[in-house]
Amino acid sequence: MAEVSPEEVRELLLEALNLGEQYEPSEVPLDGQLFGDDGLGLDSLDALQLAVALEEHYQVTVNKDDGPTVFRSVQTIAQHINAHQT
Amino acid sequence: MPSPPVGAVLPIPHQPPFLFLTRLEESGPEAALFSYEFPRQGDSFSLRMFPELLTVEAMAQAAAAFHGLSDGSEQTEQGLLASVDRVRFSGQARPGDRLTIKIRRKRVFGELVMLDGEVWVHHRMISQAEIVVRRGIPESA
Repeated sequence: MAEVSPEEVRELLLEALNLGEQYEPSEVPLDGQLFGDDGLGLDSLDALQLAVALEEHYQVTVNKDDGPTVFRSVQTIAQHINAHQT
Repeated sequence: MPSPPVGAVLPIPHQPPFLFLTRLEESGPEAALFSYEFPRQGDSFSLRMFPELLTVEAMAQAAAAFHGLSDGSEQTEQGLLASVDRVRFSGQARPGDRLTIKIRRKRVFGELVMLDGEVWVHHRMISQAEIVVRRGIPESA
């Protein structure tokens, strides 16, 4: 199966969280922090939406305990998908 | 045997005319079905249409009721409505219509529970939404 690129994940993130009108893809650094005031400011509801989007698009599960690690950046999400996609 | 009125089995705080669930029709671990009889004109409401936004309220009440039921014990679980998203309206209900409200658990992520809600009238879906309930009541609430 072809590797999922961070750029593809970034597109999914903006679409799943309805952030497409707020940010251009280039405004979301692939290794930038997603949660907290220093990042995009995502919260736990966004984490839930993202987890559902990843399940629907890539059939990859993210557990709550893994959330902080997996959802650290677009890059880490892509790494998780590529490591767990069957 | 007819299903019991919701108020008799669920301690959700809403009361008529702002309770939009009349009966719990079916309930399982992952989904539940409620009904609501929209009063005819001249009853408690004098509306010509059931406002679309109230279908969202009906789904939220059903989500709260299902969330309270879903551990299967007599002890109901408390929760807070955290969000309503992806709302779609595709029809309307009229006085005298019987609304069917379907709730299905979609995903649990820590304290957050995502549920899909749908409202049907005469075999036609008139509204749908994605509802998130937060388990428990935070101390600050």
